[in-house]
Amino acid sequence: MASSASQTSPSAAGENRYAVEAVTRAARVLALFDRARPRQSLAELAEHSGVPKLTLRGILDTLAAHDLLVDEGDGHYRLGYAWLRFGDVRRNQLDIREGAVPIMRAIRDAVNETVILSLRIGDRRVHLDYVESTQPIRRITQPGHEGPLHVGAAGVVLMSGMSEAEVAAYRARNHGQDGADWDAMARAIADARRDGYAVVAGKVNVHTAAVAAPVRSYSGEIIATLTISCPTDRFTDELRDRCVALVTEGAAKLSNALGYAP
Amino acid sequence: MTAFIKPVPADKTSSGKPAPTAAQAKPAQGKTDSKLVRVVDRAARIMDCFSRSTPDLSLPQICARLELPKATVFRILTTLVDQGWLAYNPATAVYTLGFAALRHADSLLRGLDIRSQARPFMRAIRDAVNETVILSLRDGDDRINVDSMDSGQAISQTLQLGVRAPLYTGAASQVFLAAMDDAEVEAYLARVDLVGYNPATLTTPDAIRARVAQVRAQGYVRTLGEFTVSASQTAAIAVPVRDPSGKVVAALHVSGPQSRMTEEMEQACREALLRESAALTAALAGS
Repeated sequence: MASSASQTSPSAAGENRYAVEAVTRAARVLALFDRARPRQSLAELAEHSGVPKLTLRGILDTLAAHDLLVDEGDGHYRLGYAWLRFGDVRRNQLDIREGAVPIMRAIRDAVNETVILSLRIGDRRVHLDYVESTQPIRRITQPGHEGPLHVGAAGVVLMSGMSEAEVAAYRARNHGQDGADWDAMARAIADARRDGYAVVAGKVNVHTAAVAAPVRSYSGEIIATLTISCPTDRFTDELRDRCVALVTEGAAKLSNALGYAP
Repeated sequence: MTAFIKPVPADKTSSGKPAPTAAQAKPAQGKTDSKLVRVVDRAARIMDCFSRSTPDLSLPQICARLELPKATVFRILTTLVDQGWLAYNPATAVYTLGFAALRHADSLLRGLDIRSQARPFMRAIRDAVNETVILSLRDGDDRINVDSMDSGQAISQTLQLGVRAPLYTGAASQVFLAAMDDAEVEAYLARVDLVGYNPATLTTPDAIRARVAQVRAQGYVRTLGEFTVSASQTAAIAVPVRDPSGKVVAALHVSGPQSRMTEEMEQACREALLRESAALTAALAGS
């Protein structure tokens, strides 16, 4: 029985033979609230939803009784705090890996180089998953592989989401690391912020090159990165440009799947 | 600035309450076709079934929770899926909250002026102490955590946003309680039902009065896991955020595992919170 839900077209609610009109109207009314219009009057909502005022009033009262809407008492309404709770449950449940793997496969198929999903845990960059190139000479890695944040394309992209104070605090915590080039790190972070991606060739390992782009959560925070990594001798300018295009597009797609709206 | 705090008069506490349970939920009366409203009410009750502990639910599970017939629930579910409030996975026959939940949460947050104004100061606190920083607002007799900035630490508090907590328990709640005048505190104590969430919860009016006096004298609140279900894992330090007129409009708090909350750490948290909250007040004056 439940499987028939998937047979109904999500884009054509009116054609869903099971659709409940009042619920559809309630959802459409709530969708009228957005960043630009967080507060709206009964008259505005009636005008934009096309629902008659009297009917609308009943729907709004019902939504307000459940904290889905707040009646501000002056004829205006705004979204209720229940949405924070629901958003939190949904966000907590998002399996980034599940959303990432098909995107990573598509990138790998397009360029046949290894694609890696990484995130930040404390001061470390950790690889969560990867899809490998099928070429005989290829970048290999494994889930759980970790390294310091300030080296490598993925780490630099993760750091590009930090505030200056946070970067400074990171530096203070990690100042004992041998051979750390903090000036180069600062430049790489600035470049990643400007470009929306990072390219590192022959730095972490003379034989590998990598291009990484940020994955953002619904709130805009950088929570992960997608990286394409390959041997430096294959990393021509042409491949570099293709990788930049593929990885930024893939990361944007994944961000979108996680609820991010630029 | 829009009004983000809506104080509720003592004699009118029924509005803005926690999501009503199935038994409490009542349709709006006499305003419109009651049938129409009833189905929206049922849709909202279906939404309320989804929580952190039950993020995935099947049709039979939802029916059992609401004691409603399958056909009724199914029609509402398909409508909610159409509208993006819920998502359905045909492979597992399970419903989850949809992306509309994220979008509406985001719209709500961006509509709260105090939240965007507080963000840089929350970040400064987080960077100073490397623990989770939380912004809370008062709504009637409840405190709601509306935003958090996580510490990058592997062990950190997984905080739930949008959940309502009573004003008598937890550091941030007590900030709002201490901001009331004595008559308001007494009226609140007279109407509230004091529930112990764990042994650390203050459950007598006298204990709460003593805490209020202490908070007023100190200018901050320090608690040890008063609202968490498993007692005493977390510690929190909270301070009020005042608007330029001196009115408490929000609370900021730092929360972390008790194991990391050494005396030095507590002092660092207190200093960062007081400093940034004062800076936020100054920023509010300029806006």
